Amino acid sequence: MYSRKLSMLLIVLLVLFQAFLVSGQDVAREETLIIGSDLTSNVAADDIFNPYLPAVQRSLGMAQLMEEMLFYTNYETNELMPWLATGYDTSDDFTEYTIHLRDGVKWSDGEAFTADDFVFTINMLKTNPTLRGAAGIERAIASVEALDDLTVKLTLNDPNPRYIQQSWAVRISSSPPIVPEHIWADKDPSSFPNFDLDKGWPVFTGPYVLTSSSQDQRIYNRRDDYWGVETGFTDLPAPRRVIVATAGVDEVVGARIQNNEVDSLAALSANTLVTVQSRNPNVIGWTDESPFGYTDPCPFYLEFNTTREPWDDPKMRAALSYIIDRDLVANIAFEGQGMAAQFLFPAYTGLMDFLDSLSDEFAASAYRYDPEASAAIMESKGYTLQDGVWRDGDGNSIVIDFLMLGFNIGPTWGRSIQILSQQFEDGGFEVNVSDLDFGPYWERANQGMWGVRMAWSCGSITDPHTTLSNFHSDLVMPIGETASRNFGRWDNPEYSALVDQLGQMAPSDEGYFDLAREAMTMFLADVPAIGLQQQLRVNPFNTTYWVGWPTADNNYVNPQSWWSTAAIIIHTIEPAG
Amino acid sequence: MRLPVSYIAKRFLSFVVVVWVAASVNFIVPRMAPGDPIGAMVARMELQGEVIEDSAELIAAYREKFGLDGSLWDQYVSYLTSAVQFDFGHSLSYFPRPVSDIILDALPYTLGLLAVSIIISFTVGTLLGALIVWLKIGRSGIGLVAPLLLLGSIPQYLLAIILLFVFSFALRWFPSGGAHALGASHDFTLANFIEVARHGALPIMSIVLASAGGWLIGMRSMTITVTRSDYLTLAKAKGLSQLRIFYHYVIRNAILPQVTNLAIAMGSIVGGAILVEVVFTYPGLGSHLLRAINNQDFTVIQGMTYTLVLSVASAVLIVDLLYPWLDPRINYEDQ
Amino acid sequence: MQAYSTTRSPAQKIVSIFKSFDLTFYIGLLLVLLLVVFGALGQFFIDQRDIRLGASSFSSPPSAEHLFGTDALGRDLLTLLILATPTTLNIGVVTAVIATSIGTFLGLVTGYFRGPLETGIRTLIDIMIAIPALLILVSIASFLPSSNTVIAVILAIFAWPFTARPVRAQVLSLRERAFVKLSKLSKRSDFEIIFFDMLPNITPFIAAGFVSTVSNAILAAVGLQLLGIGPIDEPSIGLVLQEAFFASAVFRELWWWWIPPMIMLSMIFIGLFLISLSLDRIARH
Repeated sequence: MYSRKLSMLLIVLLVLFQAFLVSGQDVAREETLIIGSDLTSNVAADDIFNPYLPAVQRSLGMAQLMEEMLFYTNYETNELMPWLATGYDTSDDFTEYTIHLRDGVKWSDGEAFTADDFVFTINMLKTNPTLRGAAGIERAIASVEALDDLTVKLTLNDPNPRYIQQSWAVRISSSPPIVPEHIWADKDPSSFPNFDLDKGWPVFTGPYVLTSSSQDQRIYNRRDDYWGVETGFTDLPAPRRVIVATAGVDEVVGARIQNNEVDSLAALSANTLVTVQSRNPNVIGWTDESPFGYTDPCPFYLEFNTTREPWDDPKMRAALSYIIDRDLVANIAFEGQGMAAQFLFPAYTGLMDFLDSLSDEFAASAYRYDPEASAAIMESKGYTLQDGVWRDGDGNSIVIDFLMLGFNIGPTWGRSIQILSQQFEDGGFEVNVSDLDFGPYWERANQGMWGVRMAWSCGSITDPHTTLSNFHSDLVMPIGETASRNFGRWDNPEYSALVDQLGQMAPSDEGYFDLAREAMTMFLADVPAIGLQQQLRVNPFNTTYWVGWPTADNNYVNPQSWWSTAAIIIHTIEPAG
Repeated sequence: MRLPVSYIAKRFLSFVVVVWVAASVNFIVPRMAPGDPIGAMVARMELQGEVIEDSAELIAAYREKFGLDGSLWDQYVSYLTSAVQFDFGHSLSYFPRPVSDIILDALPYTLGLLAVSIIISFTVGTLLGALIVWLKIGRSGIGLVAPLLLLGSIPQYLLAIILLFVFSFALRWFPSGGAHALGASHDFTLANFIEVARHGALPIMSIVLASAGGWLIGMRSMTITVTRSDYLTLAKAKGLSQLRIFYHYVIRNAILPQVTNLAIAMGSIVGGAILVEVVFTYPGLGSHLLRAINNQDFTVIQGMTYTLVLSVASAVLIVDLLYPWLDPRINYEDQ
Repeated sequence: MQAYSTTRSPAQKIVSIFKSFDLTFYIGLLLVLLLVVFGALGQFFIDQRDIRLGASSFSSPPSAEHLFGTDALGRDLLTLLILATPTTLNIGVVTAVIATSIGTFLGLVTGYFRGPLETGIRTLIDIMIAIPALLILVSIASFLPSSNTVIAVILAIFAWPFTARPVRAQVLSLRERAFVKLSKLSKRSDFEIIFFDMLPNITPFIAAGFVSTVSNAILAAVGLQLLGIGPIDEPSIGLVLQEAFFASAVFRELWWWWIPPMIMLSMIFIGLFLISLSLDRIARH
């Protein structure tokens, strides 16, 4: 009697269990690509797919799988890869750009992608100042019109020979995506979440559609009606499903890629990768040996507040520059796997060639480690060394008001604070460190409430102009008001005039590099900012399920899995089996 | 017994004052930091390599949109109004997501984690504490539970790391973090349920191991006091069964202060669990609250802390109100 | 609780207290003293230059030259831990001194007196208990200059109610005792009754509270440090652990980096716990 009841119960349980099992995964792990995102914690905004809201997290698959760009800049081949566009023309004075769109591109709901969508997107940004990137579009573009279904004419406010590369070709991370007018036309773009799975939203042109979104992961399925196949432009990417998931902190993500739970990670320290590789040789970095990482376009640098004593004196700025051993800073910050930065440029070929041509200028400048030169300056300024601290005639020491991002950011920043403080003190200065969280840091930084700060310099990729333009006099704001760039308020009209001239020339123009050298010489003499270390990002891939990842030996594209350019990686990788 | 009306009124009044002041502190303190949520967001985006042209304009536009450019008083009034209505509007750094959605997304995880671990540790700790005294186990008994007591003195987060090292990295019995397997769907299936349980095991274990000892000690000393009281001698004299005495006289009387302590400890339990959530990258309230503070997302901070304050204060209030029924010996008019 | 009758001299009382300590107390004391000695005597054997960044090779396991190995920044871990121990113990003691003084005083006052003042302080205690301390600590730490003293003071602000509340409860019960009533009849002033009659009676109780406040403060300070909040220019045990976890020391099996500080913290917590357990027992007899 009793056992019969029990066996009935068991049968019921088994049936239920079967039902549970069936409704589990429907795409095999071998056909699924799992990307660990660049975020270490979960995202509260799991229903925001409007790329122009500040809260959106495009790196969680939107940028790589759904949105497609007009052009992609390939850091490795140094070419502009046309994608949704086929090319562009520009007027001789670089104020008018005509962009030709690709024929046959379709949105994921089947509607055609046309010039009207482009015009709509630009006008939407020009009329909604709260949208992400809107201010830049408004400042650059005077007007936009569709010449026909596949041709758009942009008229700029100021001549700019680099406009397409800077604004529409994924210079760093991403570019503004075009949105479908037929969906967005009657929406308020400043609050439209662009998320409704039942309606097939978000609608973009890419080969994947969103199938689920939660705070810790987003799942995308491949769609077979992708326009690229119909037009013969490209094949379907191999992964049938892509999952972009929060990876977690370093301690945990190492275990996840080691156990083949993920196929790619956005960041891992080089030494953790070494540990992972010793246990799972299928995990690879950009290089097979140190430093394993890929050079991020934004190196770390040290900036002076040139309105504050004593840093308003270029000599004093030089004295501080001389006491920083950049190799040691890089090695400490990256645990022996670092790379010092001679200047504020990322270590990319074109820029490094340019720096090499300036070797005499660098040798004559304060951009190197030379404590004796620093001491000489200090003595000439009337300071004397007492118990290892420089003091003026009244016995006052110099206290560096040092602003840093320090709150929970990660080991690189924390270690940089410590090693820089140590070097300042070794050099005879006292230090008062403010290591703040993002909000307080940003406010103090852009309002100029600091003496010396460590920051990251996003600017040039191929030619020196963009980084140099970050220090233009026009950007100088009074102390206490919000600046957008040039937080150090370095005001050099002569230099700025040169930067203006450079801005109107293409790097291929005759005399461009002579002018750039002239501007650099002024920069080096005045020392408004100094380079510290390259940001090396280890972006490991796992070859257990997927092969064909970009590496130094197979460098078809730069490897950042959270950038828009990762679309090219996803179109390239193949199953391992 | 006589209904202590003035006692109830006093308690309610104090409840309102407590919630109001605590909520105000939670309004003021996060705003004491310089900077604002949009600036923090711009800084983050730029650190990720995105270039935000003219960020000053974006910051100004959003300040206006969110009313952050209004006076602190206006913001305070609108906060209090929203608190009373239990509507906290939209997150600032995840606009236009409503604050309530963010809380509701994370709440099941935190509640699950806390409920299971508190129930286990409270029950185990309380029962063991009472039994040790009741069964007169004495010194050797203390020896049996000593490991639990010692673990109880070590913080949860250190235990979490040790457990992570032993059971996840070395033995590989449990996953190292998160609440779900990477890539698994979140549908309610048995397989997923098992996965969620496996992911919850280590965080729960660290909270239980760290807190059971405290309940044990509290219960033990209360039980000692109770066993010495006259009515127990009387009950024994009446010849009531051991089990009956143990349950009706010992447990019921000794557990009162335990329950009060549980209500008071609520706040710190939630606080301590935040670190455990961080260690295991568990998708609960803790990590959201921490990030909201990092982002200076005032509306989310307010929503979450108000909920927290309200639950702790309510727990204390309920315990205080239930006391007259639970323990009629206390003279309330005098309190 | 038995009142230590007022007929005994203070010296006798102290002797009787020491007699009442049990083995638990001395084991706890030994654990804590070991660390105090380690931190105090260690200072004479170390060279500050060993904790300069890049002073030695990175992440090397214990050797004759570096008994505790080195961390990923090339610092000698033994030296670092010797310097870190006093800092960590200090945070606990500073917090506990402040919190216990305020908490005891307010607990005595609210337990003894009746009226608006008492209601006010009682409400304040309830408010402090309801405010999520972690939120305030994290918010404040994000913009205040981070120093261990600042953290200790902020911790004390949130710690005193947890002393005041039980002290008040003790006083409430003491007030009904015969000897207090007797004192009142003999026209002793309130001040005398509170500080000469009541306070001595609850001293073991307060001592137990003090010890657990030290423990809780260290617990909170280390917890904050692990979240990335706390000074990174003053070595503390929490900082050593934070740096170890930030460098994935557990995953990378750099055991010499994270296990010793973990053991030291456990010694502190277990030691203080045993002491407070023993004091608590005395207080209840």
